[in-house]
Amino acid sequence: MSENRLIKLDRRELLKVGSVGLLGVGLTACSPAEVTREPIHFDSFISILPDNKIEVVVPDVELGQGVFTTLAKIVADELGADWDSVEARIAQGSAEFANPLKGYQATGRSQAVQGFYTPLRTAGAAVRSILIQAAANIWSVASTDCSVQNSYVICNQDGRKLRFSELAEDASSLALPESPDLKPQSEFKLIGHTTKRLDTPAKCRGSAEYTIDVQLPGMLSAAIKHGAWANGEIQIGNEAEILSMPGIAGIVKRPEFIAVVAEKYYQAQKVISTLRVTAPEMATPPVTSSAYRTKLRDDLDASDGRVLDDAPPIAFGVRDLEATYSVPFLAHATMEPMTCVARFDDGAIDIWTGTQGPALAQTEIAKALDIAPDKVSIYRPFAGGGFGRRFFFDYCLQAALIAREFPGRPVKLIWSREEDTANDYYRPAVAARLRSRLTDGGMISAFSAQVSAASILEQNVPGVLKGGPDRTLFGGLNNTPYEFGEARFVWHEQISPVRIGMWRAVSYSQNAFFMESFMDECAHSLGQDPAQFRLEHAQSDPRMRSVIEKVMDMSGWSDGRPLGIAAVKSYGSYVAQVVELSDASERIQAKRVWCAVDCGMAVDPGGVIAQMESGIIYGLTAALYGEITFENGRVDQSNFHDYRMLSLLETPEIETAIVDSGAALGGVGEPGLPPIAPALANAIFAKRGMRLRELPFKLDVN
Amino acid sequence: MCHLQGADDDGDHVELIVNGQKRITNAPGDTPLLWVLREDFGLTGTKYGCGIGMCGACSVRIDGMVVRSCSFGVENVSGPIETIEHIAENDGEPVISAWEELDVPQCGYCQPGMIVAATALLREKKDLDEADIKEAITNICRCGTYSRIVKAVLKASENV
Repeated sequence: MSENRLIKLDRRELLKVGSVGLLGVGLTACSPAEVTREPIHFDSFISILPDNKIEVVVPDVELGQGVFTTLAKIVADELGADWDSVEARIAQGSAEFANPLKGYQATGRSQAVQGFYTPLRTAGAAVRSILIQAAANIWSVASTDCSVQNSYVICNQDGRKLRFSELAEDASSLALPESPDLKPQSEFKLIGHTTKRLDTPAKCRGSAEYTIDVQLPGMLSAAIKHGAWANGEIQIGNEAEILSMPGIAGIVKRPEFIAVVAEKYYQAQKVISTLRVTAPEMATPPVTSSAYRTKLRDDLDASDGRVLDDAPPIAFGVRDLEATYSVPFLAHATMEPMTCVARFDDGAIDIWTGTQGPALAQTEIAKALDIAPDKVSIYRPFAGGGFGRRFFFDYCLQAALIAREFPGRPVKLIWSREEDTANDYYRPAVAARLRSRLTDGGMISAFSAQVSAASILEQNVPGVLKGGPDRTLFGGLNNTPYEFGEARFVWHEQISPVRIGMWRAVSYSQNAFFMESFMDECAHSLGQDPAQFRLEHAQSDPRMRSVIEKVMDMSGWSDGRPLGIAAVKSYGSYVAQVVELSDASERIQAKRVWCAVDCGMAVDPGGVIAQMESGIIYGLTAALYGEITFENGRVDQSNFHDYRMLSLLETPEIETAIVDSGAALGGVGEPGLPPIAPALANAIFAKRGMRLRELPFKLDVN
Repeated sequence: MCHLQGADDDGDHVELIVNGQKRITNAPGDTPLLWVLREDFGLTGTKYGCGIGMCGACSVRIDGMVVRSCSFGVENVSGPIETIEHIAENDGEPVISAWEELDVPQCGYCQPGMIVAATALLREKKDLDEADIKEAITNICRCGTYSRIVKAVLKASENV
């Protein structure tokens, strides 16, 4: 298959990548013996080592979502590799690792497995077929008389066998078939089964290498202070004094940041807090988040919203239901703050960072340094969380600009937690008004949603919408499994006063809260059971119905206990969740959460369950505590004391079931999150009779 | 039992016992232990998360007690230091096997700190229940591995 990118790389190039990659991606220990071993590279993904180990290059970055293991095992299963001898490595930035669903290399939208499932199976099957052919040639038997098992090719007639490593050289001279036979599902040994994560041992022992851990000879470290200084006229009162300190390598001044570069990060970090910056600061917009929130809500009353698809106005009557909701800005707060290592030398730059968007970073760094994109090499260690934040390249650009001032010396830029919290691409604050016409038969016969929000797309790529509406703002509102008869969607466009970006589940993170809270309000207003009400409106979507039915069953929904339910289709998967609150009256706390997910085939059921747990905790943190506020362009929050995370003590018991519908693969990294906030809101209503329409639920519930 | 002091007579270096070995750093005395471990001794398993002692990613043991090394000046160290690299090879083993059995880590960045905290907890108290664990471990995990952490500590408590 042509789009499969089974491109043979030039050997010199591969060896270069291999050695640098081993430094950068430190799961594999970097002993000299391992660097000098001669692996045989079959394509972009698969290499066979002399000791019969199989190395798989995984095209996506490991952020915690498990692709390091899941993508590797897709290859290994088709190849017939012994799983215990498979080693994975994260691909460097390169167009050959473009996700087929995106057309460029990026990790996001829960598309890693969806996009690479077939290409990686094909790669594994193609290499398997030439290994078999090589063995058949040696044994003078037909290839159909050979099979593979645990990294051996076996002669079916007499049981003779040869290691993959013994066949690799012969096989590498054979042409890889473009359309090899794929294994039938019944022969899968790894796909569809839970396998142990390949990265767990290193991550438990402190030996897994993240960007912040990269160590290179002659490396400098940089601490950063963001700002907005007028005309680049930055004066630092104590500059000469700082530059004379032993260990200080320099100060890099840019209109948007100042970096102190030193032999040790601890020195750079200490010094940066002592800078006496005397340049005039640019006037920041006199906007506060509370004023912006008011504007978001007020604009829902305006008549100039943009209507999607020219849908005609809906006539709502007096007994119809209307509710207005809003959510705040949110930071990603990855455990590893933004960090990047850069080395500029001889007109080329090497970058080490766990980026989700290597293609974009490469283009933008090349532009900023005025060099060709192929002079920018990106190597990717493990990322300490991503959630969309590492799709952006601001910190990579900074590292590149800083490193340019120190040619030949790698520079590691580490953002402090304070800089990380205050300089995010925030989940946008959004307000929405939902309306429904309710029938005597207990159904919704017309539905409208107005969304007052800034566009992430338009802010980051100005002009991209060409004046049209941003449809991505409606995920979870205009593509639900519910049928309403008439429907209308309106966008009230806003300009965000702070940077905004993709946050886990993007628009679903807020729209599911609006939609699923509103479904609950409609059901209660009609005196109906909220779960049954959803089933009634999803008559033609059996996948939606079965996750709802499953979670009802798991939670004992019909017992009549005060529970909250929500069900959301996102990223090709369906997730229904039920929340039961704790009895503690002084605070809102989820005691138990039941979760039913249908993501098509679960390539790794254990991994799917882990991602559901992850989405639930991430979403609970946002629902209970998440809120970024600002005044005059300055973010009020700075660290975990004022941007609070859910603690272990507040973690509910979570039970997840996978519903196997046999449908096409869906995503799992994001779909676990959207239902939790509305399920919690609906549980609060069920238990305490209070309808909370604004996140976070920080109200005193007494 | 080694006796350690802050700055020596010359006032320009600090002696430490790290993972059983004598180490010397020239870092100023108020430098957080975290960065001395990471930058001067190459012990990068101890992570920077918040710098204010809240998240616990930087947890190490000093004289057997869990300390958040990002907020602990190197001059204040008064006992032998053990980091995840050392703990993993010693009494952390039952905890790590439980972690591996349940495949706890996701991004993994907080996990060395979690394992240091769990190991210390198990030293203190063998007969643990879920509530004890939830009360005792206050480290932050952003990926939401909390439920598996509780299960893994319970499992480890059976094997200690």
